[in-house]
Amino acid sequence: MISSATLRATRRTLDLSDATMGRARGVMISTLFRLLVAQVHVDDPFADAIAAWRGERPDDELLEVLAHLDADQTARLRADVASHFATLARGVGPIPSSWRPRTSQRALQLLGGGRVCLRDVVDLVVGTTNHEFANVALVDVTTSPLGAGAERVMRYHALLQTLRTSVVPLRTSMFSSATGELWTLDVDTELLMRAVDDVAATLAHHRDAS
Amino acid sequence: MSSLVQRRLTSRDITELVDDAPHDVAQMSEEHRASLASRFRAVPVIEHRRLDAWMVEQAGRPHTAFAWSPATARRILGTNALRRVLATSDTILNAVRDEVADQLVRTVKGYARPGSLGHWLAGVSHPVLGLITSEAVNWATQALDLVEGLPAPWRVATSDVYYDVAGARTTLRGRRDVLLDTTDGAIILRLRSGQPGKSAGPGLRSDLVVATLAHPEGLAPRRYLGLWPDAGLVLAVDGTMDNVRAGARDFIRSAVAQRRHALVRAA
Repeated sequence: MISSATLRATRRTLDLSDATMGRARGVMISTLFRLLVAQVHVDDPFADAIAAWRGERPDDELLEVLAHLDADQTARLRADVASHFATLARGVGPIPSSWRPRTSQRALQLLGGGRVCLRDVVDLVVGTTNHEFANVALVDVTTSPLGAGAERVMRYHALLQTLRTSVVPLRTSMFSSATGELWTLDVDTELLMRAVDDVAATLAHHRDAS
Repeated sequence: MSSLVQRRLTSRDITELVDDAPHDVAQMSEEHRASLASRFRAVPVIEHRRLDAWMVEQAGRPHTAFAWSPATARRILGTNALRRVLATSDTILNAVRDEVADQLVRTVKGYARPGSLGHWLAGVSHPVLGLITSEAVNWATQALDLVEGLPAPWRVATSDVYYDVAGARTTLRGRRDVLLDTTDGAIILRLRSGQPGKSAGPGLRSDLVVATLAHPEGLAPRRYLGLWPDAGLVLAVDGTMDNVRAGARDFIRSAVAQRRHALVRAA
C-alpha cells in the first residue's frame, strides 16, 4: 500500500506524542480547508475543526486521544491550529465556485494484479477534465515546512490524478500552513516519469525492508 | 451468459459504451414476473423485505444500522443540487446551499419525519453543515464533470427505481443517477465511491433487473453503467435476458442468505 504519506516520510525518528499532535493538527487543518473552500465562516478554528471532524468520523481514535489531553496540551494545540489556519486563510484566499473546486479528492489504483495499491487524497482539485487541454490544478496543504518529501508528494498527486482520469493535470501545488510557502510545478512527461521512479523506489525500499 | 465490460473512465470510453450499447434488449413478460414472485414467496419473511444492489454485493449479510453522515448525505443533496444547476445555471455551491435550506425549511414546517435527512440536518452544528455542503459539492461537481460530454441527451434521475414483488412482502430498489434517453431505449448511469470489488458486476445486474421490472412494458435498459471516479473505472452490463436473469437470481440468493442470517440471529 503506497500513499502520499509513504512518499513524504523521512527516516528521522519522531516523539510519539509529537506525531499524534502533528496528525491531529493535520486533520484539523485539512478539515478547516474544506470549510474555507465551501465558504463557511469559521468562528473558532479549533472548536469548529473538532466539531466537523466528529461529525464526519465520530469513531476516529485520534479524537479519543484529543479528549484526554491535559489543559496545557489542549491550549498549545488550540494556538497551533489557530496560527496555521490564519496562515492558510491568508495564503489561499477565497476559491470561486466557477473553478469547480472539489476537496479531499480520493484516488485509488491497483497495480500488479492488485498486489500494489496506490492511494491518494488531494486537498483541493480545481478545473475540469472535460476540455481539449488540461486545466486541472491540484493543491495540497501540509502543516509541515516544504522539503524534498513535499516535491515527491506533488509528483505523486499528479501521477495518481493522471492514472485516475487519463488526463494530465496542468499544475500540482503544495501550500505549507507552517511557513505560508506555496510551491507549484507544471506537470509534464518528465515530472510523471519521476513520480513513477519515486513509486518504484518506495516499493523497492518496502521489499528490502520486509 | 451474463457479461461485464470494464473500461477506463474517460469521455472517449463512455462515449463508446453509449454508442455501442445493444439495440435489442430483454423484455420481461407477465410470466417472468409471476415466476420471480413465486420464488420470492418461497423464501418466507416476517417483516417487509427490502433488497437492493448493496445487499446483493454483501451477499445478504446483515448490515450495520444506517446513520446519516456527510458521506451518506452527499448523494441526495448533490443530485438535487445538480438538478437545480441544470435548471437555473447557478453555481454548484449555491445550489447545494439552496437544497440544504429547503431541507431545513421542510423540517421547520413539520414535513420531515424523524430519521430523515432534513431532520438530521436540523440537528447538526454549523461546521458539520459546512462539511456536508463540501461533500455534496464534490458529488455534484464530479457528476457534472462526468456527464457533460455525453453523446446523447441526459437528465438527472428524479429518484431511484422501486418494484414491489406481488404477494411476497418484498421491495426491490435500483439505484440510478443519470438517464440517457436514446431512440432505442434508456442507458442508465450510476456513480459509486471507492474501487469496484468482485461483486460490482452482480450489483450492477441487480440495478438492471429492477429497472427492467419497473418499466411499464418490462423493457430492460440498453446498458447500465457503473462509474467509479475514485478508481477511474467504468463497468457496464447490457440489457440482455442473460443479465436480467442473473440479476434476478442474485436477488433470490440474497433473500435466502438474509433469511438464513435472520434465523441464526434469532436462535
